[in-house]
Amino acid sequence: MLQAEIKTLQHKLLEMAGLAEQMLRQAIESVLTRDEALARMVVDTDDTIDEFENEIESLCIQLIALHQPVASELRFLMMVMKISHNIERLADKSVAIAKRSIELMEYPPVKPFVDLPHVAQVIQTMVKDVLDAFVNRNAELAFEVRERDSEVDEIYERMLNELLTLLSEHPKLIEPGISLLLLFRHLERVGDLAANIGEEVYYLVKGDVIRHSDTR
Amino acid sequence: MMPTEEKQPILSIRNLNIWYGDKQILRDLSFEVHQRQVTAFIGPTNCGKSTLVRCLNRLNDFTPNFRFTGDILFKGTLLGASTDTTALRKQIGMVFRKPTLFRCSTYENVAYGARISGINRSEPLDAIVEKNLRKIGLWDEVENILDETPAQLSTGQQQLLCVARALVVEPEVLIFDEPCGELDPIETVKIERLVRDLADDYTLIFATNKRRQAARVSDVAGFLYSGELVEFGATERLFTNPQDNRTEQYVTGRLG
Repeated sequence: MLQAEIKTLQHKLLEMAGLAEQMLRQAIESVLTRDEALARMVVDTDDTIDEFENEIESLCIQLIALHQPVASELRFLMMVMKISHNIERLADKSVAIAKRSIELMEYPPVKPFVDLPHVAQVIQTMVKDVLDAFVNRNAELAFEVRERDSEVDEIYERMLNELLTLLSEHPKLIEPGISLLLLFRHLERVGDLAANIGEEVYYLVKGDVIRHSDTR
Repeated sequence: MMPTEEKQPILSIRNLNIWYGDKQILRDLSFEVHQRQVTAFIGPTNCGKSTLVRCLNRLNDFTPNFRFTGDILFKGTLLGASTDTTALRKQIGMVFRKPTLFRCSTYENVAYGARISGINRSEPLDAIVEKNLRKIGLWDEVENILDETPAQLSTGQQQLLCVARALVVEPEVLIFDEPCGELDPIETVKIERLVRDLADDYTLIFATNKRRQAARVSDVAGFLYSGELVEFGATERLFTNPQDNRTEQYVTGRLG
C-alpha cells in the first residue's frame, strides 16, 4: 500500500522537478536572447511550483502519520520533503534570474557573455544528473554532482572578478552591472541547490550523511 | 541510549546451534549483550526468538529432544553441565507472554521470591514488596488490595506484577518473551516505559514480533529469520538503514 503511494509521490516530485528544470532553461535563455516574454513566463510559473511543494509535503506528512515507515521508506519520505524544498528554492532562483534578465533588457548589453553559457550548461547538467540519480537511486552520480559544484564556484569567482574590473573601469555600467552581478550569484546558488539534492539522494540510497563533509 | 561504560559483555553467545530432534531451530548465532542496554530480538513467528532467549537462562533444558552446540558465556563464565541453573535463573529472570501468577495473594506473589531465594534479607519483607511494586509503578493501584488474589487485576497489571516478582530476587538480566502479546495498547505502553526505566539498573533482553515495539524500546536489535541472525546492531541503524535486504524487507513489512 505504502509502495503505491511512494510511486505516486515520486511521480509528483519528478513532475515538479521537470517544471523547475524548464524554468531554469527558459530563464537562462531569456538572458542570452533578451526574450522578455520568456522571462515573464518563468516568473508566472512560480505559483505552480509552490503548489507542488505544498502538495508533496502534505502527502509526505500524511504517509508518515498513517504508515509510520522505517528504513528505506522512511529515508525516501524524509528526503522527498527535503528535495522538493530544494527544487522550490531552485525554481525561486530561476524566477530571480528571469527578473534580473528583464531588468537587463532595459540597458544595452554590459558585455558579451563568455563564461555564462558555459556555466549555465554545467549547472543545468548538474540539475539533470541529480534528478537522474534520484530516479535511478544512483548514489555515485549524486556524489559526483555534488563534487561538480566546486567547478561552478570557480567559474563564478572568475566571472565576478571580471565584472568588478569592468565596472570599476566603466562606472556608467553600474546599474545593469549590479543586475548582472546578482544574476551570476543566483546561478551560483542553483549549483549549491543541485549539490544539496545530491547529498539528499546519497542519503536516500546509502543511508549515510555526507552533508557538511569537506569534499565540497 | 547507547551506554558504553561496560566494555565487557554480560552475555556472549558464540556459534550457537539448536535442534529439537532433527529440526534445526537456530543456526550459528554469535552476538554479545551489554550491561544496562535493552537488546531486542525481532522476527516473524517461529523464527526462533523464544528458543533463543530461553537458552540464555537454560529454560530449554526441559524441552524434550533439545540439543545445542556452541558457547553461552554469562559474565565470562561458560554455561555448562555443571552450571547451577537455579542460581543462574535468579541472575537471569524471565517474564513470559502470559502473566503466570501463583494462586495466592498479590503480596505473596511478590514476597515469594524473597522468601525462597535465600538472599540475605536485611530489609523487612513488607519493605521489599513495597519497593518492588513501586519500582514497576503498581504500588498505588494495589496497596489496598495486597491480600487479595491478583486474578481481579487487569492483564497488564498482572504482567507488571510478574515483573515485580522477577525483580525481587535481584537479577542482573531480565528477559521479556513477548511480554505484551496479551495486552491492549495502553497496557503495552506501560510495559514499554517500564522496560526503558529498568534499563537504568538492569540488562534487558526483549523478544517481540512487533517491529515498532523493538524500535521504541531497544538500544540494540537483532533480526532473526528462519533460525538465522540476519542482522544485529544499533536499533537506530536497523530501522533507518538496515544492511541486509531481508532486514529491510522485514522492518518495512514486506517479509514475515
